[in-house]
Amino acid sequence: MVRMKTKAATRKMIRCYFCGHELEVSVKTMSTTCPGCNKAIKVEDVVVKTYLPVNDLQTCGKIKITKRGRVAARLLQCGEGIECEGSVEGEIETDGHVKLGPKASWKGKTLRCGSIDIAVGAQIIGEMKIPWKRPKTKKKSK
Amino acid sequence: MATNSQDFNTIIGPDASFKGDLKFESSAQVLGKIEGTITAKGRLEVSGGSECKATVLAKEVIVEGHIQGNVEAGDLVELKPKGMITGDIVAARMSMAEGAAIDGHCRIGVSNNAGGSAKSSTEVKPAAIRAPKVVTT
Repeated sequence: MVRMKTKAATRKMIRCYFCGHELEVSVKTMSTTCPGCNKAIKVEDVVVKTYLPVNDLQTCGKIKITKRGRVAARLLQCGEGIECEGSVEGEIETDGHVKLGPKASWKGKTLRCGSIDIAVGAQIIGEMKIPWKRPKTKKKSK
Repeated sequence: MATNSQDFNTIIGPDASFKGDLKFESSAQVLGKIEGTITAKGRLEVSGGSECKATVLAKEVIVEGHIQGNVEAGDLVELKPKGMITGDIVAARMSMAEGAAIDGHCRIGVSNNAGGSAKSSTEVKPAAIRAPKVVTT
C-alpha cells in the first residue's frame, strides 16, 4: 500500500489592514511590511487572556479572546476573524467570521464582518453591518 | 420549529400587499408585501421573496425575506440564509445563518431592554410592574 504524504500548506494569502493590498506570506510569518503602503503589519494570531486596554488591535490573522479576556480598544481589525468568549469594547472590522460564545459581550460603535455566529447568552450592543468586505484603497499617484 | 404552513394560524399569501397595522394573536407567516406595523404575540415568519417595510414586534421573528424597519423580539430573531434586516434589532437572542445580512443597530441579550415593547404586548413580568418605587414619608 502506498502511503500518501499530505503536505501542509506553507504559504497563505493575507490582506493588509491599512490599504487592503493582497500579499502571500509564509504561515510562520509573524509580521511583515506591506508592499502596497510600506507600513509594518502584524500577521500572527493574537490571544487575549487578561484585560487589554489599547488604542488599536490590528492583525492579519485571528484575534482570540478567552473567557477571562477583556479588550477595550478604539478599533479591532483582523483578517481571519474573531473568536470571543470574554468581552470586547470597540469598533470591529474583519473580512472573516466573528464567533461570540455564550458568555461573550460586545459593545461598540460598529461591527463589520463577513459573517457572525452568536451563541445563546451573548450580549451585543452596537451597529452591525454584515456581510462586509474591506474595500481596497487606491494607490496614491506620485 | 414551525416550518410547515399548517403550523401558522394566519398566512398572508405571496400575491397580497397590505398597508397599515397588522396584529396577530398567535403565529403568522408573511409571504406578501406589508407596509406599516406588524405585531404578533407568537412567532412571525417573513418568508423568502416577501418584503416588509414595517416595524415588527413579536415573540419570535424568523426572516427569510427582507425587512426594512425596526425589529423587536421578546425572545428570538432568526435570520435564514437569504434573510435581510435593514433597521434596528432588539432581541433576547439571535441566530444568523451564513449569507444573511444585517444593517442596523443591534441590542441582543441585554435583559433590561430586550424586546421591551414586544414583551409588553405578550406578557408582562412582575418585576417590570414593581419597577417604579413609591417612597412614603
